[in-house]
Amino acid sequence: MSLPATDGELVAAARRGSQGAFREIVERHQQAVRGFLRRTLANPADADDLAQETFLTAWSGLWRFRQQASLRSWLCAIAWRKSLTLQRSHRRQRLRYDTLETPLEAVACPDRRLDLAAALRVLPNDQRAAVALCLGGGFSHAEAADTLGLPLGTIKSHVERGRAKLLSALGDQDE
Amino acid sequence: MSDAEERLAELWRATDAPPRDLAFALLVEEQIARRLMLIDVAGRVGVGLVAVAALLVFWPALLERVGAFAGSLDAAGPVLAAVAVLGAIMIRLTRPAGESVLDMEDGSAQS
Repeated sequence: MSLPATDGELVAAARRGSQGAFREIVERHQQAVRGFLRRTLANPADADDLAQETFLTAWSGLWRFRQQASLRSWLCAIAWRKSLTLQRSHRRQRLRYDTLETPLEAVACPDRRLDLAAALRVLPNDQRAAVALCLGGGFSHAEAADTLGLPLGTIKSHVERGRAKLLSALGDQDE
Repeated sequence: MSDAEERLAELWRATDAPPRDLAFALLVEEQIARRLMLIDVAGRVGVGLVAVAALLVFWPALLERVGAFAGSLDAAGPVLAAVAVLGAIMIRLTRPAGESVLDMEDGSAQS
């Protein structure tokens, strides 16, 4: 049996209980979701766990998906809400146990991924997400606005300012 | 493109996930299967609990009805037994002499 080609058809088939269709959805969109989470969260392991949870939530709430938004925007929106919850819980844990996490900026590591993580951590949450989606994930501004639930103008300004800050941070590290 | 821009582009590529990842898809499927199993178990436990609760609620009424039914059987029992014995005697008496219930030669039942 050949699987349906469009996201809409896959969603319809998955709603009818087709596991193959949902697997295709996962395979098709895991790169966008995992990439987005890897860029917005400091820990890549957290990112992949959260990506799995994202798809699990999507599976149980597939009936809520409306065709007006793109499927990857909808999935990344779920991922974004989960990442905010995770960040809040990490913050609470840090306060509860009064432990200080070593800032990534202070870790002298040759891995360039850490450079990016450190540079991204300088940005506020919404700005980081907008930059990760538009510059890192190739989302259009409109798609990012859908995903993050922010006005289009705000997304454009977040991306512009975030990009400038990132370039400045990366440029500074070279010196 | 400036050096910082090139570096930024390189860093985005470094944080990319693979375009297709069957292992990841299988992990998600495993989680879904686990969730389905939990839903199934929860459903069965729920139905069981509802059945037990219903039994507890209706137990006095049920017990009363079963008792009444058993009581009526107590009264009807000797009458039914007498009718059965009488029927057997009548059948025996109306059967022609020499005919048996089972014909042993061909093994088939005869009326």
